[in-house]
Amino acid sequence: MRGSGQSRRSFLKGGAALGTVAAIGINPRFIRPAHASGYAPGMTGGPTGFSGAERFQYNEGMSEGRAIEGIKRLVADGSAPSKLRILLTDGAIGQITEPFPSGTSVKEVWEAETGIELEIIGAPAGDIWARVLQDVTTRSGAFDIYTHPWNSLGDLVEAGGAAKLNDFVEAYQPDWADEERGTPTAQTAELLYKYGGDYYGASLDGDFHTWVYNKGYFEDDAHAADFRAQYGRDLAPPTTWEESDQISAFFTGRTGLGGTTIYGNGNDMAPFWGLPRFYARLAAQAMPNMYWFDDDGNPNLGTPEAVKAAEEYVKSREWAHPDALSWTFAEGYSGIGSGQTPHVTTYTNVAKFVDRFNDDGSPANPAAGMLSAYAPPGVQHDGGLVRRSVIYYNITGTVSSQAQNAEAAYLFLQWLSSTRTYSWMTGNPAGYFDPFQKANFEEPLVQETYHDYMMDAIRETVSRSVPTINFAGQTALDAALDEELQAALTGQKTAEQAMMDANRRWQRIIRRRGEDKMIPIIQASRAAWPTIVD
Amino acid sequence: MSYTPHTGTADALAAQRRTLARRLILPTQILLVFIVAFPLLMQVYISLTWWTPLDGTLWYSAYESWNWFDNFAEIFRDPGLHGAVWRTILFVSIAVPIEFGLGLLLAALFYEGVLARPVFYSLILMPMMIVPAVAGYIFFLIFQQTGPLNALVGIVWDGAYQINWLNDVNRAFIAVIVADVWQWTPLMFLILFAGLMSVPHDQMRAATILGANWRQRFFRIALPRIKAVIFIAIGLRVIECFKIFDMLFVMTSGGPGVATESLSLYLYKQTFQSLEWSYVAAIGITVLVVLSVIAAIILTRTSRPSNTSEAS
Amino acid sequence: MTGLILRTVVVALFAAIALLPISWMATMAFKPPAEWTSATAELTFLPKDPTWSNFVYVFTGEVEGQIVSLDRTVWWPLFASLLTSVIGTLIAVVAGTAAAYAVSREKVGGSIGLSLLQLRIFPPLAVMIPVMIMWAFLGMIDTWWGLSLIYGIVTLPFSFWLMKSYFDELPREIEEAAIVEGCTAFEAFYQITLPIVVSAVASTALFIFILNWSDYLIALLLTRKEWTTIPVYMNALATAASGQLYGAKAALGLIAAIPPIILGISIQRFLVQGLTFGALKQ
Repeated sequence: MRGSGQSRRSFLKGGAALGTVAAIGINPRFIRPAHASGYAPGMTGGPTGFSGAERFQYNEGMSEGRAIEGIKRLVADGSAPSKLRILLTDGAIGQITEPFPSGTSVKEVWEAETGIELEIIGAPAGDIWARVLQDVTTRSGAFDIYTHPWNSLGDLVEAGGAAKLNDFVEAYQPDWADEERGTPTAQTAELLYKYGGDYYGASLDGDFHTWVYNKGYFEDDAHAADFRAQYGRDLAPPTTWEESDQISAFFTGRTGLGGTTIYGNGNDMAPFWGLPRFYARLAAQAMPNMYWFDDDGNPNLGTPEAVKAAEEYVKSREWAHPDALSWTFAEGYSGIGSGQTPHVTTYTNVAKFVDRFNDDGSPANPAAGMLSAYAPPGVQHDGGLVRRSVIYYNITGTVSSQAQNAEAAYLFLQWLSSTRTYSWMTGNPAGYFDPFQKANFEEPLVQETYHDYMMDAIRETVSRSVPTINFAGQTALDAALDEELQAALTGQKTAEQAMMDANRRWQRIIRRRGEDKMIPIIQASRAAWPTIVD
Repeated sequence: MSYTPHTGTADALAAQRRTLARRLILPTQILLVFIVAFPLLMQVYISLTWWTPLDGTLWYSAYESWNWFDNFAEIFRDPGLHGAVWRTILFVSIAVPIEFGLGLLLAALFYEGVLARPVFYSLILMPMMIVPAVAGYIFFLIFQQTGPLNALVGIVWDGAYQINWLNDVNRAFIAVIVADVWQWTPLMFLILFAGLMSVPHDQMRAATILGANWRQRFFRIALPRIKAVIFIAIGLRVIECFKIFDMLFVMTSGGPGVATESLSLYLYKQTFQSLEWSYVAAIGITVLVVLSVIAAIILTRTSRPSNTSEAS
Repeated sequence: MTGLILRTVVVALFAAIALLPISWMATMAFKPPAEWTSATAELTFLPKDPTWSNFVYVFTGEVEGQIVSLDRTVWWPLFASLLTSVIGTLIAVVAGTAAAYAVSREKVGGSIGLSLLQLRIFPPLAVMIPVMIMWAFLGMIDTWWGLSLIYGIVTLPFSFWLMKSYFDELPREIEEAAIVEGCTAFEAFYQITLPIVVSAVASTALFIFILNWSDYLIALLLTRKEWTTIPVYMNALATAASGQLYGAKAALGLIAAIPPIILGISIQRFLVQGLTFGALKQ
């Protein structure tokens, strides 16, 4: 079943490689016979050997091509390293190393075109920050490129671990913010690639939390009729958190797929993983945004709006599975997949991991084929409806300040994160790098993996997403808020008390970090907040 | 081998033995200096500064943010730290006595004799062989509200399905104690049973002949003779329990809120989340001083009575 | 007789409690993903649809139904764990036994006992950053000798104290007699005293091996990729698609229990004598 242009790989990996394809369970429609090797007219690089490969090919006039040309110059003058060492989260490795849709992998194309070996050093997502810190603080220089949550970017930059990329960006012009193909809005580019006004990171992910629902449940006659009788409006995707909570309350206790009892609120609420849902609620509490800090850099957690958001958030636990407080995103995926819950706000790859069919055509999960997605809920203000989501986690690549050759490392990152390579990579179901660029949404392979319904929803969500915290001290700030919210969720404190305490703890963290240093950064981060009002 | 002790004086013999002793202790001394010298100096140095890796400088440039004893003052002001220390002490003082009690009970039962002793002996020791992080995962799953524990209790009592263990402050604390007791009671048993086995049988037999009942034999004869063993067993567990990390980290990560956050978990969060490395250094030095005083007191207290008890 | 049966019943009850969580892990290791948590299905003790796939996954890295193939299989971490734990145990037992004998017999070394006790009581998290920086400076991060060395050092206090309490109980007269017979002091230690305490050494070694084998934190901070051990490797058993791979973790948990159990069984005859730590004379 595999393409003919990849005999080397299947020869090397033999049965194991074939087994992988079966294991990945790629929709058979993906696997088409390769029609021709070689590049499309005018193209000089990129994957070949499968139908549609020309969409990912490039020439010197394109972002990927400029990166390859740059590398070739480095190779020519002898300054290029023989290999690049990348610290990569385990769950994403497959998208770089597994051939997709057939034939060749991202890694193979890079190595064939540049002759520079990619050495991928995997680490679990939970440990990767400890590994980065180890390398930075001991100046070990064991990696040329780090990948880490976008939220840690500030910590990494302040610790002196990330190389500033301004000159390289200037020289090689990546298409990250390209109007046709790049990020959905200018703010998104600001938010993803820059820290404190300078280029540091290359986004390899699209962790914009998206509202996903079981359309089958929403369109079920019995549910719909009962809902209309109870609330006097149609059972439809919610525009506000209030409506969202009504839907949660309505579905709780009803019977779903296979006789399972429905829990109306499908959101996982474990420490760390539940936090973005609170941030999203909070961000929508004012026009155009409820910022985390006021104009003077004081935390906004003690405001009535924040307390209201916290109270609503705590109340939503009533409609969640009893174990939701120890659930991470994965149980959230399982919940929507098994039909246990009608809606969840989560990472976009829920669509590719949960809503899929096995090779034999059977659904991989009971709710497969029933899911859909929509723009995030918000809060209705006098001036309009503020719908907000957040970017949270989001694997980001940075060039290590100790990289053997920072330029070569940057060029690889540019090549990988430019819209053609990235579209190709994000369509691959073997990892969790998610689509976020305009070009990704237009790409048939991505549409096939993530489904059509996600494309608009992600686009709408990205343009309404505010940044969670990513400046130095982020882990401390998030952890403090998280602990207080958990205390409120478990009834140790009232929501109000928890927010007051969190506010105090944030003040202390900012003070300790140095207010003169922190406040300008906090104020600068506002540039990345969207102002769309519906 | 030319040396012949027959002709040597007692002094020469003593000198030879002392030389040997000095050589034998040398590797340990070297290892100790190796592991203590640099880390201790570095911790003392950075504890007097506000240095964190976020300064973007390496640790030896920490003097740039010299702050004298500010970190040590913070120790007295930090409710998060006080809570963690208090919970750790509470944890140790609940878990270790339970482990000791159950371990002693098991040891006594085995000592008096049970059927298929070797089989049960091996089975009871099994929890010790499980990696604590794995045990954390097992108990995380077991204590889910819809998990196997509630299902098991649910057979006899319907209300069990309502008990949410890990998301309730007190019940989560109970859950982590249960997990620790499960894992380490076997060690207690192992040590105490070995101790009991070394109590001379003729004395016990004599006591039986004199009409002492089981309880008298156990509490009057056996227990006093294994005082030193009991001391070691409890000491061992107190030391390890005080540092508990792996299992908690996996099972609750200190949650809900900070309800099960031990001192080690608190230090972990300060190290990897807040990146307050100078503050962690100050806490470390304080803990070292306090523990050293306690350990020194206990050592001097116990070395005397154990000498006298050996006389019998 | 009724007493015997009653005692056996009580002990059997304890054994059942000891085994229940382990058996839950064991059955979990044979469950397919849909049966791992209550997010997908009601939980049962026995797998409804038993499978070897969890073991296949950790040993080969790939299995039907799991979208993401494992970057590393369990083989190398297993080897890394075994090697570093064994060498660490050897360092601790050899150095600790020698030092314990020296202190017990000649009171050399000043307050080395207290220093070692402090080393063990001290929470490793409070000192791991300097150790990490030192290890990096010495080029010992992510090496088998670096990890073995730190394991040997952190467990040294145990072997010292356990062995010292044993030597303290052993009458010196035996050695003195041997020396009178013509032995050197070292021969008296090596040929006369050591064989007597071999059971104590064995049980001490088992205990130290278990401590090294279980370590998560030190290996997390002092390795990078080559020498990550089993407890660190276990964290890799999570994917974006399925979150924590509880089944694979359970399979790994079973595998990880095997070396200590084998070691335990092979020295079981020493255990009862050994772990009194010589605190009592016969």
